[in-house]
Amino acid sequence: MTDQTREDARMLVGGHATRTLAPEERRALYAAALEDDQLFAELVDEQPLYDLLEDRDLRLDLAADLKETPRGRVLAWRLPQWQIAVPLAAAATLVIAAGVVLLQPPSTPGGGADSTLADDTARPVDLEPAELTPEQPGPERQLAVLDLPALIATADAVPGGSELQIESGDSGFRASTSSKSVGDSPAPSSGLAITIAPVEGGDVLLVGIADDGTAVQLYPERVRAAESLPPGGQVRVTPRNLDGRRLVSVRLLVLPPGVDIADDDAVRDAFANGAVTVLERRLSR
Amino acid sequence: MTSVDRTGSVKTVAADGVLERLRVRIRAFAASRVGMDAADDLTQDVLLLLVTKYPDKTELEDLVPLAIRIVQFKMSSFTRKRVRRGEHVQPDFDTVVATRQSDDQWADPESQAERRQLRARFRQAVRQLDGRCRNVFRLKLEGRSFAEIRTEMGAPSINAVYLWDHRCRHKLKALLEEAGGR
Repeated sequence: MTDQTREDARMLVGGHATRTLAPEERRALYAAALEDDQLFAELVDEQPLYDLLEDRDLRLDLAADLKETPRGRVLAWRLPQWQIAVPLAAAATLVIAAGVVLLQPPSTPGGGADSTLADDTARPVDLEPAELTPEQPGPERQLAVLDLPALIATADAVPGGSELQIESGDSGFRASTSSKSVGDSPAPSSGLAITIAPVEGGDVLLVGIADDGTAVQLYPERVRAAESLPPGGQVRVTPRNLDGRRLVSVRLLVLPPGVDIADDDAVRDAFANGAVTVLERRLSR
Repeated sequence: MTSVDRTGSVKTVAADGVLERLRVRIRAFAASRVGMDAADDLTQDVLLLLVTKYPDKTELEDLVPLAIRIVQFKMSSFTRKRVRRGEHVQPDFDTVVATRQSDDQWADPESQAERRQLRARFRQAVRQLDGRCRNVFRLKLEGRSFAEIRTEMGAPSINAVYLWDHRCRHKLKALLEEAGGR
């Protein structure tokens, strides 16, 4: 048996106890276990779980449990851990044009973004969480709960990190490491409109920093299989879980292309490699 | 006709040599857990059961999972016997299988307790899964195949689903250990 065959078979062990394997997968797993002591041992060790999950009612009961949203999905960590670092080199190669535009409260339907800041060519796409489900095709996935404090600690280690500013550009906004400030913007009372026109880039995560130093995840609340962001346009989010706190800034984390925001391992690697771009916009009172 | 000698060697093996290869694996596994002396006895016990009680099982898909179940049972019994010195009565494997099939599972109180503990720990660990792992595991428990999970979750290939599941299994194992070990 080749190492590759053995490794392929090892990937199937997780399907053993849950009775997930198709006949050919089962045969491949057992054939490999006959030739490999470690794999055989893994299956023996898996046997109590196999026996436990023999109970179909239990399997379905557990599956029903998993349909519920786990508690603690709001990401919260202390502000001092948010020492954002972005490689200077990113400025030269930055391919993201992104902007964070503040929205007047919801009395301005369809976005209401400041026209002097928003990208006129951007297609408005309303992704208010409550309206996410019905329109977009493709199966829905839940967003991974990332261990952001640990990730940010990794980002701290990237040298040359100065806070990234967001400047107005031809296509939405261009991020750079310029020290020039774009000034503060008024804090939203109830909603944020975000114009994002990525020329190239991956999944995006928007968080808001509250006045007590904690952070809340603003966007997305859910992600889809194909993409988590429209190719360009405006999204609206309503800050939730603030519980009376006030947002003092918003930060946009842009993952490299190909990194799935729902894949914790991949996201962690991206942080470790300094490949995550962090854009920040401070909000005034 | 197949027979097993005192060392567990299979004299006449099934056409594809499954039993002989099982003997090697079982012996290696048992030796790694309970030592070589006990490993020979345990291997012999398992093979004897396979040959004498289950002569109709000749296919790899039948023999391997059955052997794994017996090995795990024998190992568990061996460990208990070792702990409870002087006690050497253990239920016959056939009895265990029969009681499970009759829905009076885990009649042995100690096994029942272990099962209850595992069930509680497993439920606790599963509930802590998040993101993709939560969805993958839910779909598995609902009875979907990996191919169906691929479609459901829009994975680029079935290998991607295998990889996700592999990683999720490791996460679940870690959560199980946090919940009290397995």
